[in-house]
Amino acid sequence: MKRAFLGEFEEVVLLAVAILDESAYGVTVTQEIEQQTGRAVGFSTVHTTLQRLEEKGFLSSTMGGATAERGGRRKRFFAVTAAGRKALQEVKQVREQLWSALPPQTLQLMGG
Amino acid sequence: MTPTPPRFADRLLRFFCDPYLLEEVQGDLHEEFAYQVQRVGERRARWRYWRDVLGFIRPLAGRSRTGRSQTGGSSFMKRRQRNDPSTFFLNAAMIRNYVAIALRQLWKNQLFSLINITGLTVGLAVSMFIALYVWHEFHYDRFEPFADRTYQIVSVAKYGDQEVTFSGLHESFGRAIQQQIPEAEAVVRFSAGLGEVVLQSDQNHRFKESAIGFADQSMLSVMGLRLLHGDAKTALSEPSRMVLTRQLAEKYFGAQNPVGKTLIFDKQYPFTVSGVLDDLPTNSVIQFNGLVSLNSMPALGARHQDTYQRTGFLTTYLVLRQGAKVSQVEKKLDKVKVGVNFVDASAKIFLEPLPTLHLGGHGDGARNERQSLYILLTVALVILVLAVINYVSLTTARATKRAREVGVRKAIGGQRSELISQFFVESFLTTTLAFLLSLILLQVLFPWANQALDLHMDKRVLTQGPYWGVMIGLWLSCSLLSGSYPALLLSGFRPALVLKGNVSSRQSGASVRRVFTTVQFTASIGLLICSVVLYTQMQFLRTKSLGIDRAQVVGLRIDGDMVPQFSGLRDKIRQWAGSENVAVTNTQLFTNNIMTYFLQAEKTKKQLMVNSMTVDKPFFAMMGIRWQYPPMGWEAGPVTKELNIYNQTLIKEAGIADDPRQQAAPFKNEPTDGVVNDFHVRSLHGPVSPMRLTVVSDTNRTMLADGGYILVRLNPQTNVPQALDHLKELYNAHQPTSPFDYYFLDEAYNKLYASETRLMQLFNGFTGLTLLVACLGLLGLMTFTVEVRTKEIGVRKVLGASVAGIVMLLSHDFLKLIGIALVIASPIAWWAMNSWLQDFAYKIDIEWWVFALAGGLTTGIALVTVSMQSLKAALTNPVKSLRSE
Repeated sequence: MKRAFLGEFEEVVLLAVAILDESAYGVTVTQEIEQQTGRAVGFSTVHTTLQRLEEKGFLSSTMGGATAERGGRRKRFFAVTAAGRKALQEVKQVREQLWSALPPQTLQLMGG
Repeated sequence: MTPTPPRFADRLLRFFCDPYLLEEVQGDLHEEFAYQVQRVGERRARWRYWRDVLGFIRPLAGRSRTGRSQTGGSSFMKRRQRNDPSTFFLNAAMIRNYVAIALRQLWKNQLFSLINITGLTVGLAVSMFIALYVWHEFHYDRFEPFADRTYQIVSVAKYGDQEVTFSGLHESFGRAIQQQIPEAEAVVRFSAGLGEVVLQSDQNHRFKESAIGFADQSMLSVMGLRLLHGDAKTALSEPSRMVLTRQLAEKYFGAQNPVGKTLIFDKQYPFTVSGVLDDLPTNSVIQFNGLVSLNSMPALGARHQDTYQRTGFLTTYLVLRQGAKVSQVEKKLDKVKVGVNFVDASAKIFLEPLPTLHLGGHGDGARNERQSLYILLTVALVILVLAVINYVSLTTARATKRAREVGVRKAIGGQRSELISQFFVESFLTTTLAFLLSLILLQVLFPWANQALDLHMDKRVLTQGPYWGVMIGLWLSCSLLSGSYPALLLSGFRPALVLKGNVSSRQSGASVRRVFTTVQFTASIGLLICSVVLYTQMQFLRTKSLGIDRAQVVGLRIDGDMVPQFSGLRDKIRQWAGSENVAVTNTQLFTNNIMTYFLQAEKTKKQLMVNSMTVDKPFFAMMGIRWQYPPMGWEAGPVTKELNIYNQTLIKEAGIADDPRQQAAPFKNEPTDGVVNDFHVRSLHGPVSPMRLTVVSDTNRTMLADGGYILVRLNPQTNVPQALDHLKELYNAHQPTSPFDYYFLDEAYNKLYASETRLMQLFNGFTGLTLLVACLGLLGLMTFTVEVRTKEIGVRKVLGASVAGIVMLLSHDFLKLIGIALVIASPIAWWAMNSWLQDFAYKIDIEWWVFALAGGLTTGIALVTVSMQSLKAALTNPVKSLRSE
């Protein structure tokens, strides 16, 4: 597989999983993203992305925790792996590097 | 009770979702649902649930990845075979590959692609056009707001053994219905007018108009006619109000809004324009150019008043209340009828639903119309099938070329289902191309075809949803049909055999192709025979001696109020044309508006339908009508008293033998003064009707009371436009009250066969198209055969075969098929045309040469098609074909 590349939405999902720590699964991740970013996301999109991130090795998952409102069905909890943390770090680093390379007058123009 | 998510959505999810993922996905969905129910309510939560479930269905999203398990991957779709990593057969990558291969194939075999696409385009365009026409015809009068409970009242009366249908009713009938029948929600009385009438807005805008109708004010709302200007409620409510169609309004008033302006009706009656109608839908039996409020009619002069008070001239429509029983209302109408004047008491009253008026209804005309629509539909289907057959036979013929590809695909693990879908994609691509091309063709040719075939069709049909449904159905079924046989045949090849090169091109589907070619030529020959028969019958009708000489005769219309000027005008025309070339009659010949009386023969007591017209003395000599028994003293001098002249048929029907002049009168008080040989004044669909000619003296003016015609025979050498100009000058010199108006007798006669002429034109077109499609197919097959047999032909030539021998070898297969086609097509075409001819009282016999001609022509065309390729093959130097191996 090519060097794992983190798409914009993938990054958001990965961060959401990291924020939720122990309780990250389909529903909570979707709600978290909606609350934090204010954008409406489809269930299937989140699920697909979660799966893809797992394939890429950024997430790991375990089954467990059934509740009544799920009709007794189990949840799949996701957790960020070491590779996932590293990927997030890399992304953040790249961003900061880019920001710091911004000439100060441009920053002012942007209202920063 | 706690609300549950939509059951069906759940089932759908279970159906397609990978069972490995089902639990967590469904769990999440249920949890979210429970949350959303509290947040936004159950109804919207259900909507969201559906949307989410549908979001998981992504047939094309399945990219194969090595995931956490063999069945994993980021698709939620079920795999066909678990633990099998092969791609789903509707996989995006594979479809891209199919399309690429298909495009390459199209590009590589340009001739075949051209033949295929041309054939399909023509087939689709023609069948779409016909579908459009038939759709239009079958969807008459559906747009009215109460179309499903609007009925026309007709009365059917029996005269002798003839049933006659009258749709015209007296004006009091409609009023009586409104008073006496509670089930009637609305009554509309409408008449398309009493012939032509002059309208005038100012000096420069004065024209003769036809179809200026009369109607109740309920007409506009009941019939759903849309007004561009004016108020539908009041537009026709008062006398002296008039509604124009847009076309007419623009003719008189240009672009400005004409409401409130004045238009002079019939030279002296001012009308106020109270509304302008949008173009009338063409699929309606109600057609007119302008409408005058019915209650103004009695004030429009003696003729209108007389018609209004004493005749049944109004088509009366009835809107029944919801739930009213038609049969009960019919019974009540029978009672109403008794109290109304001018309705035959013996006639039975029927209610005809408005939408069925065009093609249903009483009388034979409608049945014929329906029949010819079905014929058209069949022909369209035949052309389409031929085009599809072309595709199939050309594709299978090239099977060998594709066989290796199929072999390789299978050898490296292609499934049969994948190959099938590949060939479907190919056929889909070709038909889609053809479909788009034919849509363009249709758009371009629509106005032309509409005019050339004299089909009054509305382009608005093109925007209707159901019509597009039909079109898309046509397109999809076309793709499926043309793709299925090649797909099944080609995907069935066994890779081992194919890769060894053991599949012979001549085996794979050869017999099917033979059947296809035969079918194509059967259709072509059949249609050709029909065309030839149609043409000969029309030629026969045009040239048949009618007993009346219609060549070069022009009829000038003289209005009823021109009686004072008439004698002077006639004498001037006589001076100019020669008195033997001028005659006068009160009737327009070769139309269906010839006065008809029902008279009872004195002797046989038979009811006779007698055509009746009034003529002057020169009429007989000038129109070439022969005497059987001329009146006493006919040659001696001018006619002084009215003479009754009958035709042979009438005398025979009345049971009179020998010289009728010496015997009792056929009808009461109408003794026979003379008898003429039969002659036709109507179409040859029927035999000559009994006829009475009243001959009046030159000075008699009653003849022109309702208007009449001066008939002038022009010299065969005359320059017709000049002669017409001269006649117009003469006419205008006599203070005419209406514009110059004329018709040619032979044109009028030909117009009687307008529907047959149209059928003939359509058939000619279709025959050409089927032949084209069939020949395209033949050309393709022949090119292919030659390609495959190049080596064989080379060897044969080296061994001494002649060019003629090789051409024969290549062509005789096809010629045999054409022979078979001729044998199949002839009896079918004979049967069809024979039943068509039964509608004519005068008809040709279908002779053997028709079949010979059709067969010969088809064989000739096929030979030319085939020989282009076979000659090329036979003439090639064998060195060329044998050198490379």
